[in-house]
Amino acid sequence: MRKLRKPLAALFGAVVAVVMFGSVASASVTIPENPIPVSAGASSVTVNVSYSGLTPGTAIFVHQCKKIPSDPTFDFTKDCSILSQFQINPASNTGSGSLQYTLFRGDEPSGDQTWGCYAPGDTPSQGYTNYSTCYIRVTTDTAANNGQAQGLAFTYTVQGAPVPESPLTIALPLVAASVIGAAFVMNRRRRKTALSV
Amino acid sequence: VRLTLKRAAVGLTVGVGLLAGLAIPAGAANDPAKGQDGKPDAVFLGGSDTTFEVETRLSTLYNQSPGCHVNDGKTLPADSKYYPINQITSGNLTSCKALDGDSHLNADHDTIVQIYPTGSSAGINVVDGANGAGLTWQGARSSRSLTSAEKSTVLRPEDGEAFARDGVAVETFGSKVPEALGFTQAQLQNIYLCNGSHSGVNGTTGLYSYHDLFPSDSDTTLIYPYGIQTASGTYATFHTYLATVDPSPTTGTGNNCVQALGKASPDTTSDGSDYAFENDAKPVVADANAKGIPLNGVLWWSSYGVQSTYSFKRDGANFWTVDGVSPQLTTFADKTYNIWRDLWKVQPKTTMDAVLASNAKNATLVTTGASDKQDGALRSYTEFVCEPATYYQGGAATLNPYNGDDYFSDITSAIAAEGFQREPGLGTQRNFGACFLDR
Repeated sequence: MRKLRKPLAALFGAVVAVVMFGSVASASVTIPENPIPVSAGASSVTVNVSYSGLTPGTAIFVHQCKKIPSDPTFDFTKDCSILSQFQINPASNTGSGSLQYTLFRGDEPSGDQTWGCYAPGDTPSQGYTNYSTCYIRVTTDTAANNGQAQGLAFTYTVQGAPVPESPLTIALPLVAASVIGAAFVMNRRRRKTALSV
Repeated sequence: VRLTLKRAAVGLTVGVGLLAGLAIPAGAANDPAKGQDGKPDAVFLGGSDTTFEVETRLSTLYNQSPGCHVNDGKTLPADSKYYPINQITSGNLTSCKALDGDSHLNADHDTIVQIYPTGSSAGINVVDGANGAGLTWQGARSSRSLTSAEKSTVLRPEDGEAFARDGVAVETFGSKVPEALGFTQAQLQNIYLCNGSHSGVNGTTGLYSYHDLFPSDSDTTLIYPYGIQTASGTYATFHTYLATVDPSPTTGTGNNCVQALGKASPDTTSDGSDYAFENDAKPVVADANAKGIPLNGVLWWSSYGVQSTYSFKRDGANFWTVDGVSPQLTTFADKTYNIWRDLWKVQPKTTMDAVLASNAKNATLVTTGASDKQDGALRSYTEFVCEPATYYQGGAATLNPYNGDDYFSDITSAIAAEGFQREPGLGTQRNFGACFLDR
């Protein structure tokens, strides 16, 4: 009996873990980079949103929000930008995939909601609340369905003015040539010094 | 003595002023200029199916908003006998305890009632007198704009206020993934004209296949167009988009591929009453199953907002790109999707009218019209939905006692909860506070 105790406990633990975390781990939303790089003057940025574990054959709704969907006070009509809604057809939903989604940066674009998602250093318009962390919300069936909603927190990082790059094919030989040249010059100087002594 | 009298007069004036100020705080009285008379009325609105749910939400918001204090039976007769309204046609049986309502909200405790939908045109015809002089409801819900006749030459000329934006989604069912390019207007016209070369179930002719319209698609499933009852605004909007092509033909000659419910041939009743009601796809899907029509080939059109909100009504519908633009809230807002449409409040000009020169985008409304009773109550309710954010925010009006939010935010939220958006603020799309006035 004692011999069985450890394996049974391990089995019980595994079952509990599957029950507790299995469903959470099954649905996910990801983006390639976070913080999301935005150009200095850009008011929007398009990101590739990958999703998996959704119920296939139902419509998908994507929103940009100021509150995470798991917050008990979450209300998509007030905490998400209505104009940010993007819908995918039931027939196109196989449960996982990706989509190109445009996020706004700055004031919420409808003009009727007084909040926005801002990058460091941005100044909100008067009366607007600054959210430096916002959320991409993905849900299925209807926009109001918060039971299936997944929220992904994101922030912005501002990239400076683009710096012109020199191609490696040119830069590497130039650097190599200058190193070899410097070595050659130094070598000749050493020889001259040795001969004069 | 003269000085004493002068001081007394000044003191009296100041005292009366103070008392008046305490009794009637600024902006806290009912306002006849908004149709409020300090007495409760019940007002009825009929018409559109598409706007039924959102108007029901807005009505509830208005009905529950703070107004005057009801009589307590101490200083005035108890209102329990009279409040709420006991004779809806006469109304006005008793008054508020004092002029202490918030005129920004439902100062009179009026009750807005949304009648079960019978279609936009049916609602408008009652209000404008096209169905006769009798008036069974005071205002109409509409998902189509008013005609010039409805605005000027009917028995009771009307104004319309667009308070929300929707789009008409062109849809198919089953597992058919819509083509990336979507339908063009010409393709949809040809489909509803039955110009195709295939025959289908029940002797239907003039059908297209997907392969006919999209040669790179090998799918030879035939496309069966379905109609919608002709009293609806959703029908009217799609018909306007198709121009001379009627998507719910009632002549019985030609167009014989357009499907009515339970019929092998198109609806030949004069009112199109055998076509499906709008927005609920279940009867259409059931009809297709009964006839042996593959769901992948069923073509219909519906309110984007309603079907996005109620998946039970949507029944698996897939929305198509039209003229190269995907149906999304953003493409309705900027009007790049060609079948966008506004959702309207409609009432006679005698109830509420406005001069456009006196109104502006996101500015407090300036109107004329009824100052009391049911018509006044309708005027007050219409203005409640169309007033701009500045009217409700910054301490101008009482907050919602249920959630502590301002009413502009709650009205915006109620519209969004039904899958629509407020009339967009982009460019000149608003000309009447937060609405668009068409007079």
